[in-house]
Formats: sequence, C-alpha cells, structure tokens
Amino acid sequence: MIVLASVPPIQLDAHTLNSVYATLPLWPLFGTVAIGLMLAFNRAKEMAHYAVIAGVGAAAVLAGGVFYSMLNDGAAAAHGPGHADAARLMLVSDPPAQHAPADAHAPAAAHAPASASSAAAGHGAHGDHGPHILRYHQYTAFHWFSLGLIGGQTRWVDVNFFVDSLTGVMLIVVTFVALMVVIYSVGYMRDHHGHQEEGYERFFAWLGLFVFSMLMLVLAGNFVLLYLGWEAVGLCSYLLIGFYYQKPAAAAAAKKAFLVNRIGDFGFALGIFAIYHFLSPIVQPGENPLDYATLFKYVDKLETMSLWGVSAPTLIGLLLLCGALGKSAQFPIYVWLPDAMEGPSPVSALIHAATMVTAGVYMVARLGPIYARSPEAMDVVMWVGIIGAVLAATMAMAQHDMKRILAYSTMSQLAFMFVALGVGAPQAAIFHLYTHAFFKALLFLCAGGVMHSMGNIIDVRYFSGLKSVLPSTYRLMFIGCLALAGFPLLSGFWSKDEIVHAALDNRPWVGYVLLFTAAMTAYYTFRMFFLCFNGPTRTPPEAGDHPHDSPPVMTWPLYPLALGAIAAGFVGYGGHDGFFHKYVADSSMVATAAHTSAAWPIMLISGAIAIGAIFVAFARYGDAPRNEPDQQLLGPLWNLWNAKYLVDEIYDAIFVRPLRAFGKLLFDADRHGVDGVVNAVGATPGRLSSIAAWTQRGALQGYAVAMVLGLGLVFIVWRWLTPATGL
Amino acid sequence: MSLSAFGLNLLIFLPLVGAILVWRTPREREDVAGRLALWISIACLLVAAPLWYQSLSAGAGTIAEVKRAWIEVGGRSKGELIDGLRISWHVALDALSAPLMLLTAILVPLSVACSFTAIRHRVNEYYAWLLMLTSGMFGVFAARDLLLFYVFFEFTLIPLYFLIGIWGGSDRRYAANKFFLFTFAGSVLTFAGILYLAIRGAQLSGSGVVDFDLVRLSSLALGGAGLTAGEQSLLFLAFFAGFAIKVPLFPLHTWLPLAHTEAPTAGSVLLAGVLLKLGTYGFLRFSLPMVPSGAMEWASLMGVLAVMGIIYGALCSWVQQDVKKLVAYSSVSHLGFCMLGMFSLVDYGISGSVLYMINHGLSTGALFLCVGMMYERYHTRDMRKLGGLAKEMPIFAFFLVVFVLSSVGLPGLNGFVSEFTTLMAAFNSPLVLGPWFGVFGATGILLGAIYLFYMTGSVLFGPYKAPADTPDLSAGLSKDLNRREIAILTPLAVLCVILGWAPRLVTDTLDPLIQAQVLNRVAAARQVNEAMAATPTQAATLAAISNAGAAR
Amino acid sequence: MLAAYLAIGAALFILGLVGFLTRRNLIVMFLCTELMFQGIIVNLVAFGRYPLSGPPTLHGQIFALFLLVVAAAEAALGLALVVLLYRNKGTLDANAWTLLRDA
Repeated sequence: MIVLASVPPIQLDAHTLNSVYATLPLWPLFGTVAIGLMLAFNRAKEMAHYAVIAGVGAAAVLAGGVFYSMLNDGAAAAHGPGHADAARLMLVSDPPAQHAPADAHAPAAAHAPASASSAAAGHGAHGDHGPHILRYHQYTAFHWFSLGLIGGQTRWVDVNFFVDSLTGVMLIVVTFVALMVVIYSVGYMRDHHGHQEEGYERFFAWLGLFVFSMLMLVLAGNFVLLYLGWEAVGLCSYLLIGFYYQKPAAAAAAKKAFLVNRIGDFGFALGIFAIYHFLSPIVQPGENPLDYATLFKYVDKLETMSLWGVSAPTLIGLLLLCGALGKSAQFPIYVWLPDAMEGPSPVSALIHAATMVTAGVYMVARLGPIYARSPEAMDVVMWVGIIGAVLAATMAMAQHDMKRILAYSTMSQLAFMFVALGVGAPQAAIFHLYTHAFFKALLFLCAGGVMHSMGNIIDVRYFSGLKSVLPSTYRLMFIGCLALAGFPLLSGFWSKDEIVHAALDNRPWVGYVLLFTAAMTAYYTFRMFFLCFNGPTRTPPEAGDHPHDSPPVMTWPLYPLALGAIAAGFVGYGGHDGFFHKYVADSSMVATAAHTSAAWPIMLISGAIAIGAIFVAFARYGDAPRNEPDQQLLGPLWNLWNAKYLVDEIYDAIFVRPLRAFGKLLFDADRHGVDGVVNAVGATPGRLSSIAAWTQRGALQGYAVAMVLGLGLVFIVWRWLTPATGL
Repeated sequence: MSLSAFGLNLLIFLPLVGAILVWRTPREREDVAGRLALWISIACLLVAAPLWYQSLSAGAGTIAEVKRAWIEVGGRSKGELIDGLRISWHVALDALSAPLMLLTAILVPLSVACSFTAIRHRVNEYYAWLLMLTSGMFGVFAARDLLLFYVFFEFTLIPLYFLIGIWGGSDRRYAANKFFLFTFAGSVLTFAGILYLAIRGAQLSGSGVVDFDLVRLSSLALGGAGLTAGEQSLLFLAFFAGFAIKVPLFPLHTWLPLAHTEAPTAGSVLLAGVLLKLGTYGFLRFSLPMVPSGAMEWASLMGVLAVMGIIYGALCSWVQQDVKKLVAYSSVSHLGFCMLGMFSLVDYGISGSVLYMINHGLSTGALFLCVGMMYERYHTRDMRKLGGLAKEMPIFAFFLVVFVLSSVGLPGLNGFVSEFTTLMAAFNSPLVLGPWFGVFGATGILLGAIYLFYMTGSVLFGPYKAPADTPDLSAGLSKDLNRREIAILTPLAVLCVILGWAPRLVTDTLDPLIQAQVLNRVAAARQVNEAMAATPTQAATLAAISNAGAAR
Repeated sequence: MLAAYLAIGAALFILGLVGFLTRRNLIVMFLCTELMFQGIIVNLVAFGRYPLSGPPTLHGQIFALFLLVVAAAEAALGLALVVLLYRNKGTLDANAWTLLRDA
C-alpha cells in the first residue's frame, strides 16, 4: 500500500523556491548555449569551459538545496505517518483496517478512490511499520502537449518535475561528479603544450548538454519527460563517444551505442504505451496516467489487469526493463559499453560509469511500486543482474585495455545493482549507485591521467612500473581500486556488502554468486593496477622522454572524488537505521526484501574475500609479468574471455546481417516486384495498342480504303437494324 | 470581403501573377528571376503568417472564407440555379489548413533560395514553375469545393512534372512521366468518387443542382440517412486511390523514390514537404468526415498498410547507397506513422498525425536541402564515395545531425511528440487498431535510427573521403556552407526546436476542429451502423438525430 | 426526276472515290476529292428542288453555294500543301508519305 504525500518545502515560500529549483537543469544548458553563441560569433572560444563549469556549478548548488529540503522532509517523516502537517496532501489513502490513517489524512482520503491494496503484504519490512509513505514535491513548468479531452478536461503531458528523496540523492551524484569531471576536462582536453585540442568548445558544449539531459531524466515527473532525458543522454553519449569522429572505431562505437540503446528504447516506449493502455480508462479527468504521481496513485488497480495473458505490472515492468537494460548496459544488450570507451576518458568517467549508465537502475528503483507488484519482473531483473555480473567480471579478467577493464567492471557493478533491485532491496542498489559513482569516476579519471601521460596508450602491455613516473595518479588510483575491490571500510565495501546481504537473506545462492563475483572484482581490479604501476618502469615511445603526472587542474578534482571513494560509504553505516536509509525511506522505492539488521559475520567474510583476492592478484601479478600468467593457467577459457565470448560476432551474424539482407531483399522486391507490377500495369495499354497500331500502315490510300469499307459496314448494319423506309 | 479573406485569395493569385512576371524577366539577367521569385515568395510568407496567427483562435470554425459562383450551368429561375451544375470558388481557412499553408509559405522561399547556384539554365522558367506550384499548393489547402480542390490537386502535378522533367537528374524523363502518370491515374478514380458524391448529394437533398460544396456535402452524406454503408465503403476506396498514391502508402509508393532522386533540390523539398501532405490532408479533410463509416470499415487495413510502410520503407532505406534515395524511402516510412495516427481514430492520434505532417515537412525538407548542398559541392550522393565531411564542413555537419535527430524523433526536437502520440494512439486505439499496431509501428523507432545513423556515420564521420576534383567551389560556393545556405537552414532548425517544446502551436487549435469534423462524425456513423445491425427500423431515426448532432 | 439527279450525283461521287483510291498522284487525288464534292452538291440541290415531302425550298441551293465557297477555300489550302509536299520530296507520289505509320 502506498500513500502519496506532496510536501511543500518548509522554510521558504513554496512557489518561489520551486521556481528557483526548477531552473536546476537549465544552468548547464545555458553553458551549452553560451558556447554555441561563442562559436557563432567567433568570440572568446578559449573561455568555453568557464561557461559549462559555471552552469554545472550552479546546478550543483541547487542540487544541494534540493537534497537539503528533502532532508528536512525526512526529519519530518521521522515523526511517523501520523505527524500532522497542515500543508501535507494525502493523495491516496486507503490503508488496511489495522493501519487506520491518522485524523490528518482523513479528509483527503474521502475523495480518493477506493482501492484494495493487497500489495501491502508484499512490502515486507516496511509493511510492518505501516503504509509506505511517499513524499514528494511536484513542480509543473508548462503543459507540453495534450492527449485529448477527457471528461471536458484536457489531459496534458506536462513538463513537470517530481522530487523525492531518491531524486535528491541522484541530483547530488550527478552534479557533483559532473562538476569534477568538467574541471578535470579543462586539463585533459589539451595537448602536452597546454593547447586546446581541436573541438575543445564542442566537447564542453556536449558535456553541458549531457548534464542538462541527465538532470531532466532524474527530475522528470512523467514518463514522456523521462523518455526525453533518456534519449537525450543517449544522444550526448553518441556525440561524445564519437568525439574523435575521424577515427573509424570511434564513429562506429558511437553509432553502435545509440542503436543498441534504441533497441531498449523500443521496449521502453511500449512500456509507456502499456501504462497508458491500462490506466487511461480509469483515471480521473485532469489526471494523466503517465505522471508518476498518478501512476503511483492507481498502481493497485494494475494488479487485476492484463494484456496478452500477462499481468499488467509484469508487462509494464518487463517492457520498461528493456530500456533499462540498454541504458545500463546489461545482458543481453551491453555490447555497446566496452566500445564506448573510444570516447575521451572524462566522458567515460561521467557518462559511462557514474551517471548515464545508472539511469536504468534509477528507473527500476523509481518504479518500485510497479515492480513490487510483479514477482516475475523482479525475477527477470535479478537474473539479468546475476548473468551480467558474472559475465562482465569474467570478461574483465582477460582484457588488456585499462578502460575496457573498467568498463566491464562498471557493467558488473551495475549488474550488482540489478540483483539488489531484483531481490527487492532498491535502497541497497541506489546506495551502491551512489558510492560507485565516486570510485568509478575516480578510476576512469585516473586511467585518463595515465592515458594522457602515456601519449594516448592505454593498453597495459605497453607500460608498467608507473608508480615512480606518476606518483599522485598512483596514490589516487590505489584508493579507487581498493574501493572497487570492496576493501573494508571504504565506500564500495559498505554498499556491496549491503547487496550481498540482501541477496543472502532472500536467495542464499544468489548471495554466494555475488560473493564469488566480488572476489573476481577485487582480483581483476588489482591485476590491472599491478600491471600498470608495479614492476620495472617501462613507457611507450608515444609517451615522450619525460612522462610526468597530470597538471594540477586534472589532479585537484580527483581529491574530492577520492574522499568520496573512501568515506561516502559511511552514510550507510547502521543499515536500515543509518542516515542513508532513513533519508530515502519515503522515496518511491519499495523494498520487498526480508530485512535483517546488520550482520557483522557477513561483513567480515566479504572483507576477507576482498583482501584475499587482492593478495592472490599480488602473488600472480605483483611484479607486472609480461607473460600473462592467467592465460597460461586457464588457456582457452581465458582466450574466450579475452574475445568477449564472441558476443559481438554472434549478434552480427544472427541479427544485423540477416536484417540487412532482408532489407536488400525488400529493396530488390521493391524495384522488381512492386514496381514491376506497377510498370506492367502501365505497359499493358501500350502493348494492346501496338496490336491495333499494326493496322496503321501510313499510306494515305490505305486509310481511305479503310474508311470506305467502314462506311459501307455502317451502312449495312444500319439497314439491317432499321426497317426499310420508303426510299 | 474581409481582409483575411482577401489575404487568402491573395495567397493563391500572388504566386500565379508572380510566375508570369518571373517568366517575362529578361533572359540575359539571370539573377533577376531568382531574386524576384524570392521576394514574391517572401511576400506570400508575410501574408500567410498573420493568417496562421489568426487561425490560432479559430476553434472548430473558419477564420476566412470566400464563396463566389464560379461555374454554374443549367436552368435558372429568378436568377437562382434550379437544376444543373454548380462549382463555386469556395476557399476558406481553418485550424487544419492554416498550419499546412504556413508550412508551404515557409518552405517555398527556402527552396527558391536553395536554387540560386544549383539551377544554371532556363532560369526564369524554373522559378516561374516553382511559383505556379506554390499557387497550386495554397489552393489545395484552401479549397472547400470538391471540384475546386480537385482542380488544384491536379494542377500541382503540372509544374512539378516540368520541374522534374527539365531540371532533374539523368533519368529525369522517366521519373517525371512515372510521377505524373502514377499520381494522375489514382486521382482519376478520386474524381469519379467526387462526381458520384456530388450527384448523390443532389439526389439526397432533393435538389436538382449538383453542388460540389464541401460543407454541404459533408453534412448531407452522413450516416444511414445519407449514404449507405456500402456506398461509403466504395467511396472511401475511390478517395483512397488518389490520396494513398500521393501519401504514398505502401505498396503504391514506387514513384516516390524515383521522383525524389531525380528532382532538383527545390522540387524534392516541396514534394516531400508539402505535396505528400496533400494525400494525408485529403484523407483527413475528405475521407474521414465525408465517409466516416467507410473510413471505419477500412481503418484496420489502412493501419496494416501504414505499419508495413513504416517497416518496409525503413528497411529499404537502410540498404540505399544514394543519400537522396535514402531520405526518399524514409518518407515512405515516416508517412506510415502519419497514417497510423490518423486511422487510430483517436483524438490525440489525429492531431499528432497533423503535427507529423508539419514536422516531416520541416525535417525531411531540411534533409533534402542538406543533401542538395552536399551534392552541389561533391557532385555525388553516393555514400561509398563520401566520408568524414564533418572535418571539412562542420557547419553542414551540425545542421545535418540536427535534422537527422529531428527525423529519428529525438525528444526535444519536433519529430518526437508527433511520433509518440501517433504510436500511442495506435497502441491504445479502442475501435480500430490495437496494441499490436503500436508494437509493430514502434519498430520504426529503432529502424529509423538505424538507417539515418548509418547515413550520418558514413557521410560525416570517419576519415575524409571525396571524389577527385571536388569540392567544386565554382558559382560562389565555399568549402563549408556559405551565409545564404546557413540562412536557409537556420529557420528550419529553429522551428524544429520550437515545435519540439511547443507543439501546442499546432495542436491546440486543432483539437476542437478534429473533434467536430472527424471524431463526432465517426462516432455518429458508428452508432448508426451498430443500430443498423441491431434493429434496422430504428436506425433511420437515430441517423437523423446523429446527423443533426454532427452538423452542429 | 429525283432519281435521275441522284444517279448523276452518285456517279460523280463514285468516280471521285474510285479515282481517289486508285491514283497515286497527289494532284489527281485532290481533283478526285473535288469530284466527290460535286456529286454531293448535286444531291443537295436535287433534294432542295424535289423534297421527299412538302413544297420545294431554296435550302439545298443555299447549302450548295456555301459548299462551293468551302471547296474553293479548301482547294487553295490543299493545293498549297501539295506544293509544299512536292518541294519537300520532289515527287507527287502519295506513297512517299507514310509518316503516320507506327514505328
């Protein structure tokens, strides 16, 4: 059972504050527009980065404000659902008898539609504490387009924002990482002499556009706007992966990323249509079922509906999941993510590690009320996660390209989040999303630093022993690797542990698989780390004579991220009574997992596993051996991992080629079949008349004879038809 | 005659007069013809824009109307025609025609301006034909008399025939003939339908005068009291013959890729931007309101053809090597969305369909302009021979990407809202289409991205590649787009963004019109049909009631 | 009397027709068409003078005059065309001109 509460902010006048917050996504866009004007008028182009830094900075400040306001709401929530707040509007309230609402909610409950909320039982832990309360701000900027008149009222698709505590977390993650990455890029997008790379302005313009899109995605208050953000981040990803567009690999990777994502978006769009299909007939005039708030209000009604023999929550959940799989690079449509590493490293850090790829996790978490009503869809989410986690971890074990190793680890960590979602612990998923953003962005930016110093070489076979060459990158990367490996007390440890914990409590075997994968994670992370920084110092010729650490503008943004990688996990300390979980308790995430309090034994075990795996990695790769001991040991299996299970080739053979061949076939059919029929129809009169034309010999007297004979014939027929007259 | 009515007539006659002036300009001063044509077309835009602005408050009614006797043959009594034939000069402007006329008025100056360097021979004739075409296009959207509509509908063929046949590519004669014969053959059947409808209208109203007035006919020929379901079904097919070829709906599309490929850039722009919409507009203005029962009966088939067109057009598009042909096939796919939305017979589907007409006009028109600008420099449209143009032509690349994105329906640009509403309407159409139409139609989301991104990928990105001796920078062309070309593409790009965020500029006024002219009639026809199936005796009464309701 | 005039008219017409069909010279063919004209004019005048019913009228003779004018005009035009054709090919043979033949 879900109770929705729309909460005006407490300190400030609601309208003013909302209007200020509503500008949040626009600031990075202003940066992009400013760069566009600079380019159009050919002025001040070398200042391009300031525009975007200022825009993202402004967004970050506002994001902090939003986070803080939801924090206050959280404090209010601590008083429990009975806390009387005159301004609080209860949109749906029909709790089971034993959870009779407090008096403050009764008036609104009167005009809410009656609904049997059988899902209350499914909410497990939260069900015990009473109805799940969702508190949110909603801000409507303007009516975007209409879906016709329903009961005399226009059904608008609005540009509206839906802000709850989940949004607060996402905004902080997105703006913080984005700000660091943008500052870092000022140094990264220059050559060794400090000159701006070609396309410098373009890069920052797209970054600004990306941050705008991502914020729209996070803030969206309805599915159409979510789809807008969803597609727009995909576009920015396309533009930024293809930033070095003259490189065929980059151009191909960009195209692949967009098209593979579109496969998911196909399902996503159908999911939106399906929501409308189910809810359109039952919502009140003036409500739009595509608004989250309306959807959550009527979500109970979905349980009795079905289409094509599939229950409504399952159908919607699975279709929307398609989109999430594409965007979050999950099995089976993850193939674009490793290729996406063709983009500049800051892009990999921001888009393909910290923010955009987490959109799928965010969406599934956001739609908790739907997934909570479909055990089948949850199972699919879990399975996708398990398969993806193992698959990606194995592939990451056998790569040489640092960024690709990190990309596979991203996919694997996202898969962890999906497992968390699938076993009904979305808070754990979002917690991992939040910590992962810090350390993975840190790792990618460090890898970018290595790449920058090594003259754009990122293959670990070409260098080693960089510890002495790049000391500060070494230290920062070490922190990132420890966090990713789940080293005790670092941020990754807390969040990963929570996911493992949730899995163990619900489906123990899933928990074991995750523990095993976590061991692999620690192992491959440090394999990469040792290959890069340990052993004898070697640098590729491209790196020049004196490779050195990155300039300060590229180093300073890494410290806040490193701090996050170390300490961000502590907000989760205390499990369900900790700060993080209290903060997101009144978001739209619905936990269905059975919940037990913090379990120190599991923490000890997972910590031990991480440390053990690091030591194994040290034993095997500690001196950066050049003969790849794992390949010696595993042989063909390693080679299969190295070849990424040949999935790209398989997809090409069973999807791309046949479809294109079908297209060729259709085009041939079009030219010869369809057009042939048309031409044949057109040619028929010509053929027929050419028979008649044979009689036309061209001789004048021939025509005259024909005329006379014809006249005679007419005369005979006429006489034959009419009775004789007096003549 | 009110000022706006005068403006409406002016829109039709100004380009016609202009055509004669342009034709008579001195041949040795070639630039004069182009400039004059540009000013005349801008004048048209200046007339059309305020008319469109007025139409925002039109609701379901008209804002400008002219009705004059044009051809009246037959017996008279006291000056009134009592039997015979009446064709009137009846033109009007409402919320459906206004945005399409504005689209025309926007595209014409751009296509004139894009021809300045591309057309080098028989210049004044060229612009004269272009202006004649303009006049015809305005006339089609304004006409409210069936026969007048038909005259304009056919009149547009002639200028385009010459534009393709004289200034087209290497295979221009064949393309022009095919285009002409194909579309003409279809519309002859439409003409038969129009005649039948008018004669039946005269019979049903008990008057001896065969009147072609749209308003009269659509209020007479409704439901059980008017045309029978069988008649409506056949009449729908007669209209279908002309309009579906024009749209073009699969499998009647084969003239289109050929005509587009061979036509000069301006011809392609106007063909894709406006002339294809004559078909969809015809369905919406005539088929749906006048034979609603027939439309209902065939709607599912139309949906099937539309979906097949979406998939078929997209797959054919994907395997093209000629960029222009690729864009041409994409039109087949895109117009499939338009038809799918229209025949969902759902309010937001139909308004989305009209929005789609506008959006397709803008983005596909712009794509043709881009292809033309590329062709002028590289003398080839073969994707295998070109590559990496983004390096040489960054401004061009920017515009091409914007229009491609608008074409694939990226949210925030214009294509999205119309694509979304048409597909959702097909998915949720309770009467005629259903979820499966939405599912198959939505594959267009994916397929559309495939072919357009293949195209941009191979033309713009990768290492630079171009045929020898290019780019050809004669005739005042620069390596990247020059100011004139930027000025041509910028308004379109701006409109793409504006309509992405404010589609209500088009749809808000459209909604009441669609409700009154289409949906109420369809609902009435459905009631009658249902009643007919249940109790034939009561059907006539019900028909009378619903007629009255729809006529209101 | 009518029958005799009709017989003369028919004879003139048939003579002209046969001449037109059998001769190859364009001028002769042209003269033959004139002969056919005359046959018809005789018919017209005869029917005017001896109508099948009612009193005789001048209609036939008026029509005959009208036809003579047309024939004169036509002769001028036709002979001019023949001269042009002769200039073009240097022969008056009708078989030299088969432009209407299909392919």
